[in-house]
Amino acid sequence: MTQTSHTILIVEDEPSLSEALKDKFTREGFHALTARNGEEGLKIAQEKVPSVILLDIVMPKMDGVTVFKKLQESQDTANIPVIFLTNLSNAEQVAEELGAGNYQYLVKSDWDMKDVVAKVRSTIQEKHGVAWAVEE
Amino acid sequence: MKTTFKKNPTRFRIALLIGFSLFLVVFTVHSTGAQDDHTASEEAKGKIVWEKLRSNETNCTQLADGDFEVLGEYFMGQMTGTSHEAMNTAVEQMKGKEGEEQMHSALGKRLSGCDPLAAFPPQNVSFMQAILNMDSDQAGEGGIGSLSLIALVLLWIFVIGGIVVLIKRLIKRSRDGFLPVHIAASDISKERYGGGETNKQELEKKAPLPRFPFRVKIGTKLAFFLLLAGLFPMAVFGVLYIRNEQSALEKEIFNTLVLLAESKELRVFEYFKDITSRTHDFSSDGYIRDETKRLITTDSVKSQEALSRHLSVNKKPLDDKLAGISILDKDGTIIASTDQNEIGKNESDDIYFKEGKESSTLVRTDPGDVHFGIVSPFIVAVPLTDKDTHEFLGVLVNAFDSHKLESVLSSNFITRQSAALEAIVGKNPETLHVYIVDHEKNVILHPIRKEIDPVHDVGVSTLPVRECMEKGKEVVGSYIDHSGAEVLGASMCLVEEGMVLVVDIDKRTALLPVEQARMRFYGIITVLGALIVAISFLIARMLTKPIKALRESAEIVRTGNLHYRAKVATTGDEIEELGHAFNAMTASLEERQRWVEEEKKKLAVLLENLPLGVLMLRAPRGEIIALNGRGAALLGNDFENDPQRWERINKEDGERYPFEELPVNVALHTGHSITKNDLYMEEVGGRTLALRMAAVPVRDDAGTLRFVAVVFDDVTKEKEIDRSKTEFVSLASHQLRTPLSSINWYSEMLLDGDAGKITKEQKKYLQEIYRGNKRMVELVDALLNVSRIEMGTFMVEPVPMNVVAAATSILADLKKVIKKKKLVVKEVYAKDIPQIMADPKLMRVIFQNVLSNAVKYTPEEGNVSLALEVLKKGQLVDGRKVSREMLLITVADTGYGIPKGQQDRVFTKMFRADNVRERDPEGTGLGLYLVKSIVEHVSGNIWFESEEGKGSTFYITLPLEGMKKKEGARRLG
Repeated sequence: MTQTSHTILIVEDEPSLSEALKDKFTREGFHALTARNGEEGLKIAQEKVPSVILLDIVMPKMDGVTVFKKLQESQDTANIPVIFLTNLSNAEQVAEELGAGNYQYLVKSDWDMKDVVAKVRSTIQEKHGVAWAVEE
Repeated sequence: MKTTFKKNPTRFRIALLIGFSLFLVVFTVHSTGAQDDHTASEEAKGKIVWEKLRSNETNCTQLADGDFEVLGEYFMGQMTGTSHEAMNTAVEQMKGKEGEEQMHSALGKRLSGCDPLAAFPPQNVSFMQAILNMDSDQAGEGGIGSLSLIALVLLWIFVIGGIVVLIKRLIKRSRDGFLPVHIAASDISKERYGGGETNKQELEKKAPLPRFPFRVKIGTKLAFFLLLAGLFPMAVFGVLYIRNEQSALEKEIFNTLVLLAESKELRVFEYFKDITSRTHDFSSDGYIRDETKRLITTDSVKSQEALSRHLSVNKKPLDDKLAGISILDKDGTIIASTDQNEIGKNESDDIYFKEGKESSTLVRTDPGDVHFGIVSPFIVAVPLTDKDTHEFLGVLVNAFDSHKLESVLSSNFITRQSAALEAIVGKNPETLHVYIVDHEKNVILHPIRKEIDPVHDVGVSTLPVRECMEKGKEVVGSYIDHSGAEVLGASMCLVEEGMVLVVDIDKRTALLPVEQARMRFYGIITVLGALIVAISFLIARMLTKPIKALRESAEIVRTGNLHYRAKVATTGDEIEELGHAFNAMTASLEERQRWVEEEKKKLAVLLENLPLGVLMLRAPRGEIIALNGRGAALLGNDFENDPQRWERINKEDGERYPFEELPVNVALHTGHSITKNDLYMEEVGGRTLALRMAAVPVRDDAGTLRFVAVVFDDVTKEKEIDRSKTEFVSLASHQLRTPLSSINWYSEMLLDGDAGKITKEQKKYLQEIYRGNKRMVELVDALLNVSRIEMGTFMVEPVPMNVVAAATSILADLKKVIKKKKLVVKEVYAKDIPQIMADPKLMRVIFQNVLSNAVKYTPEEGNVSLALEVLKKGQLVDGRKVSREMLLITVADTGYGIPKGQQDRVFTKMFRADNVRERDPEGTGLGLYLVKSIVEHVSGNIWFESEEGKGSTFYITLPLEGMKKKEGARRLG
């Protein structure tokens, strides 16, 4: 199966988690980019325009919510689906701040990685209408 | 109903009054009967005889003279008033014992009816008159006196009683119309000092005070009652007495008049008899008869002269009353006379000639007729007959001077019997008239008023004249005389002579003593009345002076001077007691006020130093009336005087707090208590102060909102702590979750073989790590929820939702386990379950926990049932009555049950029963704690029944009206 691999951006300050996600998504056939803080994440996103961004919230330099807001400011990045992947159980607070938008909210500890992958795939599929073959 | 005098003093007083009146009656009657001075034994004997006669034990024929005597004595004793006096006078006149006995005997015979024609001593007219009069008087006289007195006293009692009843009625009727003084007073005290309600009611209950219908001073009342009680009966008694006196005097005067008339009648008779017999005597004179015969037959002048001379010389001087004598022949021609001028006149038409021819006749000549120089003389004519042959010769006529009769009538007319009449007539002799009226109603003789006589020869048609002329009746009584004056009079008919003898006296003059007595009486009454009024006002002044003083004292106390004590007059009566009571009241009021002041002081100190802000406002406009120290410190010292003070209060976001939603305004407008803790205020230093404020309405006894008490406190610190707590939990959970995620994901990758193939054993170990980690995540989530609940900050967001659908979706989640354990699940949903307002997340937590518990703790092939139904108000469920419409969720299982000894700890945090802990070590022990917290947070209820080894049933009720929205907090995770 030959297909252009989708680029995803993982913005996560916790190295162990960042590593785990990068390994997993790479293994799942994605082109995974990582950033260790919000600023960096925003920069990469603006440069590479990934298919999906997995965005932590509590981060040094710039938090995830601000990053999302910045992304929305540019036409290039506004359409990138964002999945907040956080350990804060304050989805409502985020929702209040951002309103309904092009994002989803997952609590890290409640999600197995394969479920996160499935979520990313379905999000891309929704956006691009591409049938996604699952590699074993 | 039994009423004692003690209970009802009014009745006692009435009884006393009646008793006293009866005593008066008895006393009066007794004293009236006991004034006679007759020998009691004689009278007693007479009474016995009278009783015997009346009961027909004896009859008149069996009585001895002595019996009649004592009978007479008895009757005398029974007589009172005029009769008695008349009788006594009569008896006194009968000098000597014999005469008296005779009199008594005659009286006895007469009055006992034994001899109606009892021989009265004829020589005493007054006795006869007395006894005759007595027939009519005897029955009544004495009786009337005492009877009228009894009647008077009774009348007095009734009148006074009637007036008392009338006044009571008046008072009763007007009771509702007036503001009773004591209520007004208690109102004043209430306004000033508060309370007083109970006292008013007690007073009201104790004695319904009489209320006089109009404002009258005590003096006036007293005067009125004294006049009523004293003067009125006296006046009535006096009037009756005077009337009695008057009638007695009238009677006496009548008696006297009758006696006078009779004695005069006798004199008149005597006079007439005298002149008639004188004339008869002349007619039998032989010389006259012979000479007349001769004169008739011879008609000689000599005989005529001789006869005339005989009459003039021999006959006329025999009687000084004689005016002249004439002899008429058969034809009526005067043939001889003492007056030569008369001879030859023919008098055949004159009545005396006509009647004189037949028999001896007394004639009164026409008025104005003059015979022998005498005006209107009495003429007596008798026939002259022949001595031998008795042949009618002519008529002898004697003319008598009527003035001689007048002197008879006028002389000695005052009888000794009537002292009163004597007294009256003695003073005014001209008012007593004794005169004779002839058949033509002409007054022929009127001796007393001769000189001023306008009535002489004037026809009178007064009552006695008419009565006598027309009916032959004699009159005794009061009537109008010819001159139009009212007189008292008596008449005697002189039937043969065709004349009436009238004795009358001017009534006003006659009754002068009574009139004088009446005037005296009026004077006495007036003086007495004035005296009573004066005394009443004096007494009233005496009574009211200390009362006035008390009232003035009351005014002083009313103005607030409770130290003041009234000077109590030592009157030794109720007024003095009132004064002491007043002072005692003032003293107790002072004591009370002191106590109130003390309490106030204590309270003020307490309030001032309370570590809470207290603000007091007056309803309805909300003026500040008090602000304590802490309050001023919190709100600012100028808060009290700042008209824009409430604009300082903001919401959390800095917006001004809506005026109408301020707790104080809610309390003022709705009258309900309210507490709010979302008030903020900028402090001077720029710091924001968070306030919690409770407003409580203060009502008076009538329920009117008077004040609003606002209690408030600085909750800035609390809010900060709260916020940091929440942040802490949030961060803590974040920090805990990060390593948990790490473990989760790496063990997942290892298990998935991402790091290369693993052995079975390695896989088993990794699975343990993986599962343990999952439990840790669950535990962290649950703890997060618990901490949120305990902070009371979780949000409730009710939306209309289908609870049945929520329940079934949870069951669907559990399907895998149910299938695996081969459990039988029974679902019963009532048809009438409506959509209810509920927070889906909370409902999910509830269903999730109770259903998963049932599934988890029921062994394989067991039963689990879920039922939803609606409970009506008052319906019983598991022995509990529901207070409103509720949704009932029942979850039953045939599981392990909860051991009896641990049932009371089921809803406590982290509790897990021993029997399940063994079977399933995974479990947080927080599920039911969470459910209970949620259910109670939304006004529901949860309880259960359970038996170890048999199963459990959980009941949850939620109000059908739904959950109330609750903001400003966080959702449960």
